[in-house]
Order: sequence, then structure tokens, then C-alpha cells
Amino acid sequence: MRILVANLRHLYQRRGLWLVYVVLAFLGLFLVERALSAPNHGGGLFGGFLVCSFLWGLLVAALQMEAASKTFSFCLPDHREAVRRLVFLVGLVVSLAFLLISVALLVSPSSPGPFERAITPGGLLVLVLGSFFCASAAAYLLGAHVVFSVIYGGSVLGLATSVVVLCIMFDVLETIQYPILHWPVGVIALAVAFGLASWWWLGRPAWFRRSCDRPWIGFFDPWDRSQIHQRYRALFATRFTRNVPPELDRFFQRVIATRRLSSPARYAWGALYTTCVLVVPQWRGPLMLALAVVTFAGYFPAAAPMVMGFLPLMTVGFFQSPIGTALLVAGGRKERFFATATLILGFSMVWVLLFGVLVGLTHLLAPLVPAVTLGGDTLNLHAISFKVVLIPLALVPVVGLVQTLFCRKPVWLALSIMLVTAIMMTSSTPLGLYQAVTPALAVVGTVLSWGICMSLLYRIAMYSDLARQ
Amino acid sequence: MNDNGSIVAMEKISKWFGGTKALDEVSLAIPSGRIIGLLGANGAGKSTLLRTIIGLYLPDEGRATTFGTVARDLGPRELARIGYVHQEGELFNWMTVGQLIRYVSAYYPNWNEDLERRYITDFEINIGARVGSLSPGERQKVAILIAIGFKPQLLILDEPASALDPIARARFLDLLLELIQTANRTIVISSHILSDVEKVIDHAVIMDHGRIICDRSFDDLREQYHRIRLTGLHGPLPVQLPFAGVLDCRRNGTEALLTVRDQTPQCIEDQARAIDCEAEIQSLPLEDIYRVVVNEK
Repeated sequence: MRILVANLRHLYQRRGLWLVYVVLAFLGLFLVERALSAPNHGGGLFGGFLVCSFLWGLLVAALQMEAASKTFSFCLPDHREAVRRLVFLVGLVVSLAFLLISVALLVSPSSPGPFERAITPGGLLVLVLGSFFCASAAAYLLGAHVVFSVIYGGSVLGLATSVVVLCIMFDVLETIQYPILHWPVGVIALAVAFGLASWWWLGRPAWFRRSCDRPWIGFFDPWDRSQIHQRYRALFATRFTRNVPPELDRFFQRVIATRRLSSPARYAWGALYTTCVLVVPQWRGPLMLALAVVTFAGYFPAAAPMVMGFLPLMTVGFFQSPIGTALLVAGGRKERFFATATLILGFSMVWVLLFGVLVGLTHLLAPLVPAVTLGGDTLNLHAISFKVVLIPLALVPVVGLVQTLFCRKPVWLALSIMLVTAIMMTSSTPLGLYQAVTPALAVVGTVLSWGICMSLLYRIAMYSDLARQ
Repeated sequence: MNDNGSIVAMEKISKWFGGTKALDEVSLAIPSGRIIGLLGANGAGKSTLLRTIIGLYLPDEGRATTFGTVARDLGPRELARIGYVHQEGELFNWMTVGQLIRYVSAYYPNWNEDLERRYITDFEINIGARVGSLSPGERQKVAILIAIGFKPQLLILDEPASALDPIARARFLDLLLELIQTANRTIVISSHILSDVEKVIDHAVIMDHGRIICDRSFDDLREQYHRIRLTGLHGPLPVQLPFAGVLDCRRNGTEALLTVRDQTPQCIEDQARAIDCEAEIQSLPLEDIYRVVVNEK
């Protein structure tokens, strides 16, 4: 089998990819429909297809990167050349397909397109179509370069969705197609130059050497626990370079050592210690984020419960459930449960204190801070209700439960947190609902959250396997 | 083995993972003062068995007790006597090695700092390094240190040496031998590197598809299986060789190489003399014993 054909098979052999195609097709159709339904029919059609080409570039490059990052592929004869040829081949086919679809849509009597304006001198049609074809190929290559240079494959879909959302939000489709219609020769020249440079760039041995064994989480790697662990280790090695002060180390070690062997407090302190070592050196990030979020909530108080609920959800990144740890210290199942409950309480308290202080600051500053005018709207800093301080108390146990359940299943963990976020958004965004929450209702909700989560955690700790296959 | 005086006793333990039966009515008793080799192919159920002993896994059927306590209910007092090296070497990646050692040592009143210092020197452990940045071999060294630092009464080692280099493996085996010199200390070691394991174990448990197919002292196994190099003293070997219990035979004219079971060296020599041959008798290495036992079953 030819190498090029073998690489092309990546595009259809992996059944999971069909889901990706569906998402991309949905995004593409959405863009085209948006362009065709614009006041000037077809107003952003070329722009829409350029974005689609960019998305294809992301996808194809991500698949090729998955192969190129595997060490065995470095020594495969002629594999390097095949990657470059495949990337260009798919790019040309995709651009040609978009060109044909564009022509079909634009020459249709029901869809008078932007040509009416652009081709008024006559005879420019071929030039504009050539310009679109070249720009489409360049957009595709740009997407490929983004993947090759910057991001992990697993985030391609997120990036693709963000690009589409931003294009729609800022209505840039007409803007990005403007050069195609008005400076076709310049676009062709630039695209050809970019294509030649890309051809040279992707053919360099140095590019392949750098890609070989590059940390890379592919489309389906999040299902593979060992891949995630490997990446986590690399992350800890490179990012977590600061330590807690030695006094803190000594304090915790002394406290753990001086508790009785059978005292649950010993294990609770142990859990607090290991978490402090992780969290304390990173304190600036969450604090700055909390400041930004509370400031935003101060100006848009209706959104306060939702945006301030996001922060406790972030806890999942720092929460290492003692129930599921495979590191055996002397604690039994009960001690593991107790340590986990303590950790949940600790995180809740930290968020409550932080939110309490920041919300209190909004009460102090609201009368003093002058109004801000933004885009014609006048924004005032409001004092945020102290009720939001209870949000972490209700949410952190849920985070602890989710983390304990899915600590070794990253995809399920992410999906669960997304689900919690979605529930939170739908239940707290409606304006009336937030105001309708009485202190008594908030306390009942918090007690319920703790009751359900703790009983489930106890059940997991006492009656399930504590390490996974 | 029988249950009397055992520190670990398992009775008809079965464990399922979905549709896979990882342990199939396993019964095992581990007396104190032994080094037990737990052998088996990938997926044979070794890790599941070890995790069941310390209560990380709960059996679906049967009963497992460790130090006289049901494994599920093992508390601090019992667990403080057990050291465990996890197959996947799961450690706290964000800590430095020094922090991790101090953290673990804080749990054990009898932590041996001399042993720790010596181990760190012998195994060239960098205590300032971040655990997440360690190579697999270095992680394994740290995992071993925190499992043995308090001189546990029961040491469970699940593939402890797979990532160690040959010199580190040799030092590790010496360490195990040193540890076992203390009375009533028990080590259960699961490993694929049988040439290493056979240097230290005195008992072998062989698993296959979730069942224990052999549970015997290593000396008995070595006496049970022999390899014979047979050389005809005056011409070619007879067509029919007189040995019983032959498991494998390869021959070429005047020489033959046989693997036999349940034959004493004296009996083999007598039979060889009877056909005018010289017999060179060797015990089988553990790797061959393992292969023979698995094939026999």
C-alpha cells in the first residue's frame, strides 16, 4: 500500500472521526446558511468557506500530527514526504470543492451573490474565483500551521467552535472576503507565496525531528488514561516549579506525625498538606481570576451566581481525592473518606472566605467607584448580594464527588463538569430566580448538596474498588 | 500452605471486571517469614490479587483477611505494617521527592531514617527533583523507598523492578534479602523478570487466567523438574529412552536434551547407566519451570 493512501485512510478508518465530520459539517452549513440569509444574499459566502477551509486545515493537520508525533513514524521510509503531500492534496481538493459549491450557489438565479458588485468591470469572474480558490487553500494551510505549531489535537474542536462563534459574533465574514473581491491579484500572489513557503517548511527534516515524540494529545487520546498521565507528569515537571515555604512543609509534617496512628485527623491533615503543596504556589492565578470575576459580577449583578459558580468548579483541577489514590499510606477506607470530606470542607471554606472578602469589598466600593460608559451603556458597580457566598458551599461537594468518581476517566470528568455548568447556567441565569432565593432556601440547598454528596462518597469509600484497572 | 498462622488468607475469592473474571475462586494462605514470587502472564490476575490483599479491591465472592482482619476493613494499625509498591507507580507528581518522602514518613512512627539515607545514596535519588519529572526508573526507586522505609512486616511489590536498570535491580534484590533477614517479615513480589525473582524467592505462586495453578515451595519445584543432557558413551543413543515423566525431548544421534518431572537424580543416573549413557542433571531455571507448569495446565 502506498504511504499516501495509508495516510488518507486516517480520514475514514477511525469511526470516531465521523462525529468530528458531523460537527464540522454542521458548522460549515451554519456559516453558509448565515451568509445566504444575509440582507445582501451571499454577502459572506466566500468568507464562510474560508473559515470552513481553516477548520479542515485544523482537522487534517491534527490527524497527521498524531502520526508524526509517534516515534516509529520518524523512521518510516518516505513518510515525511507523504505527510506534506497529503496535507497539500486534501487542501487542494477541499478548496476546489468549496469553489465549485460557491459557483453553483452564486450563479443560481435565486442567489445573486457579491459578484454583482465585484465583477462590474466584466471579465473579473475568473480572476475572483481564482483568488477565492487560492485564499481558501491559504486559509486551510493556516489552520494546518496552527495545529502543527501551537495546540494539542484534542482542543481542535474547541478551537474550531470558538472561531465560528467569534466570526458570527463579530460578523466578520464579509470583512475577511473583502480582499478576494477587491484585490484578487494580490491575494493570489500572497497565497501562492504562502503555499510555497509552507511546502518548504513542512519538507524540512528539522520539522519532522521536532514533531517526533512531541507531547501530543490526539482526538481520542483523552480516553487513554496513560496518555493523560504522561502529559500530566510533563505538565507538573515544567509548570509546577515553585515550592511551598519550608515552614509550611515542617508544620504539616509535624502535625501529621504527632497525631495518633488511628486518629482520622492524621489523614485529614495529610490530605490538606498534599493539596497545599499543589495549590499554595499557584495562588496568584485563582486570586486574580476571582478578582476579575467578582468585578464583572459587580457590574453585571444578575450574572453573579453564574460567573461566581465557575470558580468553585475550577477546584476540580486541584482536588486530588484521597479516596481514589493508589499511594498507600496507613489510612484505611474510613480514613480516606474522612480525608476527602475534610478536603471538600477546606476548599469550600477557602472559596467562602475569598468570596466573602471580595463581595464585602463591592459593598465598600460601590458608592465610591464612578460609573463607566462602555459602548454607549453606563455601567455601575453594584454591591453583590452575600447570598452568592453560599455557592461554593453547595458546589464544592459536587466537584469532590465528580472528581472521586471520574479521577481516572478524564473525558467523563470533563463531561460531568460541563453538565454541572449547564445545570448551573440554566438554573441561575434567569433574573428572577436568583433574587427569589431566600437565605433559608440557600441553606437547605447547601445541606442537601452536602448530604447527598457525602453519603455517595461514603458509599464509594466503603463499598467500591479504590483503584481502577 | 495452610491457614494456620497465615498473615494473609484468601478463601475462594472471585472478582469480576465487567465480563472478565479476574480472579476465579482463588484460595491462598501466606505465612510470615517468606518471600513469595507471584508469577503469571499479563492479565493473569496478579495485580488484582495483590490489591485484594490490601483491600483496594473488594472481592465479589469469597473472603480475604490480612493480619486477621477482613481486607475491606483494614485500618491504620494493620496498614501501618504493610508496604506496597504499585504497578503504575502512582505518586504525587507535584511534590518534590524530598517532600514526598517526608510526607509518607510522617505517617509511620517507626520510619527508618538510616535506611532512607542509605537507600537515597545507593540508588542515587535526587530528593530535590519534582516527582512528575522523574523517569519511570527513578519513580520506581522512589516508590520502593516509601514502601520499605518503615520496614513493613508485609511488603507487597507489584512489578517493582520492571523499569530499573540492571545495577539498580541487583541492589534492589540485595535490599530484599537484607529485609527478609528480620524475623517474620514477608514479601510478596510479582514480576515478569523471572531471572531476578528466582534469586530471592522461597515460594512460588503461579497464576493463569485468574486461577492459581501452582502454589509450592521453590525448592520443591526445583526438585520436581530437571533437565538432563544425555550423552551416549559408546555410540548412538537407543531409540527408546527409559525415562518416565518426560515433558520434552530433543535428540541428535549421540546426544539428547530432556526435561523430566518427578524423577530423582539417583533414579535418572541409574537409568542412564543402564543404557550406557552419561547424564548431566540440572535443575530448571524458574523461567522454564514457569513455562512447563503453564503448559502442563
